[in-house]
Formats: sequence, structure tokens, C-alpha cells
Amino acid sequence: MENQELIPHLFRTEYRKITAVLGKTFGLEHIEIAQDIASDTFLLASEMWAIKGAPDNPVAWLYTVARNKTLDYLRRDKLFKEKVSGQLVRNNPVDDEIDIDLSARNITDSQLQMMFAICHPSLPVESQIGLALNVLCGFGINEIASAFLTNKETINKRLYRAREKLRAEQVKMEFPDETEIELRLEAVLKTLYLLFNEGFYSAGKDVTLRKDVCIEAMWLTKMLTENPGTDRPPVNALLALMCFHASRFEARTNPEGETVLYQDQDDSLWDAALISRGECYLNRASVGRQLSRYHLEAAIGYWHTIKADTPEKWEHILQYYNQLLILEYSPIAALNRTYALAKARSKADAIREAEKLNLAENHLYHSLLGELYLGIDDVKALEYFNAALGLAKSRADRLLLVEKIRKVGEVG
Amino acid sequence: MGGFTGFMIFLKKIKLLSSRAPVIRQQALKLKPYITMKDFLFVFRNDPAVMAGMSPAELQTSMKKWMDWIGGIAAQGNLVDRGNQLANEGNVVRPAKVVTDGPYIETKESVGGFIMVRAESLDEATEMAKGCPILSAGGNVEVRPIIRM
Repeated sequence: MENQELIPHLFRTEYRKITAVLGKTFGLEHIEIAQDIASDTFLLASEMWAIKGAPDNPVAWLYTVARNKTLDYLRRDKLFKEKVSGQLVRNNPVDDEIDIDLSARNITDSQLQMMFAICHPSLPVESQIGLALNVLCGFGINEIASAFLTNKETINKRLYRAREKLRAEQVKMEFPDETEIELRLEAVLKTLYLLFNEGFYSAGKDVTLRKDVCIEAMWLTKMLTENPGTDRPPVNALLALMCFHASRFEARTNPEGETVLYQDQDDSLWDAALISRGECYLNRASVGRQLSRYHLEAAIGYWHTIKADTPEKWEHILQYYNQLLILEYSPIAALNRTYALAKARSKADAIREAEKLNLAENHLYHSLLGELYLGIDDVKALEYFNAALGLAKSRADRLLLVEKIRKVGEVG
Repeated sequence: MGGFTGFMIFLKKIKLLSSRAPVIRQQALKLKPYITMKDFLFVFRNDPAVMAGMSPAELQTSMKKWMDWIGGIAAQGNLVDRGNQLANEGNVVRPAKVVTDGPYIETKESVGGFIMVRAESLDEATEMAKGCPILSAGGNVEVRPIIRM
């Protein structure tokens, strides 16, 4: 691997490890210092390796440098050392020399504990996602701002408040106890799910960045499946769901960066390896007696990996949407269920149900009705598409609608 | 679909279990904060012999109709509680602590289950109940406003 590939690759895998271990060493209240040291380590790597070439064992090099930088920092900043070393001495009463534990075990534990800390229920969910991207995925403020379609100031403020809140709540980096783990894990899964969706459905134009967000969400979820304490059925179901969706990543945008709708996608571009990994995780999720929303969404995702438009496929999708909505309402599930109803039964049935949805402020509601009226009443279809266009905000959505309106015009 | 069969088997096992847990739908409560909205109990009554006489295929079709109907209510954000099915057997405790078996086997109008929905008025709730598949199987739906204490 060349340096220009090696460093970004290592940054993806090692930044969060170094940050998590140092964060745990210093305590979560000093998380920025941990992040600074991790960033400095990579900065030095890119300078040194450009001149001398990469070392034989780049990961070991990074850990050594991070350790030395930490010790330097502690030596330079006496005040910080006093504050932190009190805690370190408590942790290692035998050793008074500060040690930074970069064992595989501590690396894994620290990352998982960091995940639980960041997904603390006291934080608003958008702060959790922001922190996850920043601390666990090493995304810069610019990248996070463009993933969220907002500006740097907003993200800076959001992260600042989130860190303050973690301090105020005295959140510690530790595993929740057995009585709490289910609820805390639920919060972690929700954040990972939203993080993935942020990448998958965001209207941001940077396709590579959006894909990176999805991959990171998958990495973090996979890490949970690899730890016995967190390897639970809903976690596997969530990972299955992500695999099924991610399998369509290459097919869902054309070379111009425009969205290609599901039914128009070239299924030879769907990633078969990811689909079969998804199946594997879904089967691993199929134990116990808990049927989570992730199970149902994964099952819906599974049927979408089968291109053939059979009534069987849509009947299954419809029934999973019914169950999903009974478990938890969401506007998007309500709209998707109605689309599945049209496919499994008839457009007339679906129109009747769609009109009861009370989602008139949602542009997708109007696009759905437009879609359902196509071929039944094209004038009405056009009215709905135009109403949708009036409400749609993102460029990608508007482009799709303009194209639909053009097509209706051609037929009429 | 080799990779999927494990999940299908799991789903068959779990269906009965998951229907036991009542789910309070906080999401729906958040979405519909209108003061005018009220909660209603739908009580389903039918002759137990109807379901007992169904073939597995008929049962499956019936199940789908129920899921489509309840799914439709849920899609409007109006399902407050998915409710539960009731077993046919049971006891009735009468004055002087006399206990009798539920006379359910003979009755044509045995309570078989319930759900809770949200609607603006009794009329609207009644309209919702008109879609219930029990009506085409000889049963009925009692619609009762819930008075919150």
C-alpha cells in the first residue's frame, strides 16, 4: 500500500482506537486532549513517512508515537498531570509510572465503552451522532457539517455542548451493568442506525463521504457483534439491515451523482457478498424471543435484495411493514407500507389507505399518491407530483420529481 | 433463499410470544398531540367455533386480513395499543364466590380480543371499526370511548 492510501486507511481503523484508549486513560472529561494527541500522531506519520517511507509495522509505530506524545504532554503540563495522574494511580496502584495500555483487549473495551458514553441518554440524538462521527470515526468538523447539511459553527457548538454535558453528567467510560445494558444498548443501536441513515439517505452531494459514514456505522455495529456482552439479536439484525442496504450503494447513484430509484437500478451492481453477509447476520439474529424493529427492517431489506417483482415478495414486505408499524409508528414506514400495499394488492386499495395518512406536509406523501394515480388518473398524478415539487427541499428530490412530471407530460 | 430460512423459522416461533407484550406507542402520542383526540377500545366478539373450524390456509388468510387492517390503523399513527388475543377457556367468579367455567364455548358472542385506537370522535372510531375483518366472519366490534381517570 502506498502512503497516500496507507495513512487514510490507518486513520480509519486506528484513530478511534488511540482516542478511545487515551480517553479512557485521561477520563472522558479530557476527551479533546486524547483527540488532539491522536491527530498529532497521524500528522507526524504523514510528514515522516513521506520522507522516510512507511515503517515495517505502521500500527506499532503509531502506538509508540501516541504513547510518547502522551508522556510528553503529561511532562509538559504539570497541572493536567496532577489532575489525571491521581486517577491513573487509582487505576494502577502498584505502578507509579504512568502506563498507556495498548493491549488488544483494552483497545476493544475502550472503544465499546466510548460508544456507550457517547450514546448517553442525557445527550440529544443529533449530538450523539455528531460525537460518534468526530470521536469514533475521526471525521473533521467540515465533513460532519457537510454530512448534516449544515455549517461549521452549528457543528462546533453542538459538539462543545455535548462535551460539556458529558462533563456535567460525569459520564464515565465503563460498561453499563447487567440491569442497564439492554436499555443503553438500545440507545447505542438507535444512534448507529441513524448514523447509517445519515449516510444512506442524506441529501449531501458528496457520495464518497456518505458512503464513508455508512461504512463507519457498519464497523461500529460489527464491533458490537464481536463482543460477547453486546452480541445480541437486535445488534445482529441491525448489521444485517445495514448490509442489505449497503449492497445497493453502487447502483443507487449514476456517474453524474444523481439518485437512481430502486426499480430502475442495475442489479448486477448490487454487492452479492454483502447480501450474503447480511443473510448470515439475520440468521444469527434469529434467536431468543425478541422481535425488534431491526429484525423487521432487516427482513424488508432482505426482500429488496431480490430483484424479481413477484406478488410473494411484496406480500412479505407488506406484512413486515404492518408489524413494524404496529411496533412503532414512523411516517416513512407508513408511506412505504402503502407502496407495498399497491404492489401486493392493488393501486386502488393503496390510494384508499394513502388518503387516510395525514401526512400532507411531507413531499414523499404527495410523490407516493402521484405514483399511485399514474395510469389511473394522470391529471391527478400530475397535481400530486407538482405538490410534491413545491414541498421537496433537496436538489436530488427535486430532480427526480421534475423527471417524473416530464414523463407524465410525454404520455399525456 | 437459503440464507433466509433461519429467520422465517424464528419468526414462526416468535409470533405468539411477541403478541403477548402490549406496546404503548409513545411515538404516536407524540405525533398526535391534539386535545380533541380520544382513545377507544375495540372489543372483538365472535363465535369461537368459527376460528376453530378454519384450515391452516384459511387461518393464514385471516391473519393477513387482520394484519392489513391493524397495520392500516398503525400507518395513520392511530394505534395506541396493539392489544391481545384472549384464550377461549376461562372462569367467571359470581356473587358468593361461586366460580363457573366461562360459558364461552356455547356463546356466539365470546370476547376474543381487543385493541386500543385513537380517534377524534366516536363516529371516526366507528368508521375505523367498519374495516375490521371480523365483520365478514360473523363477528362484531364494540367501540367504547375510554375515560382516563
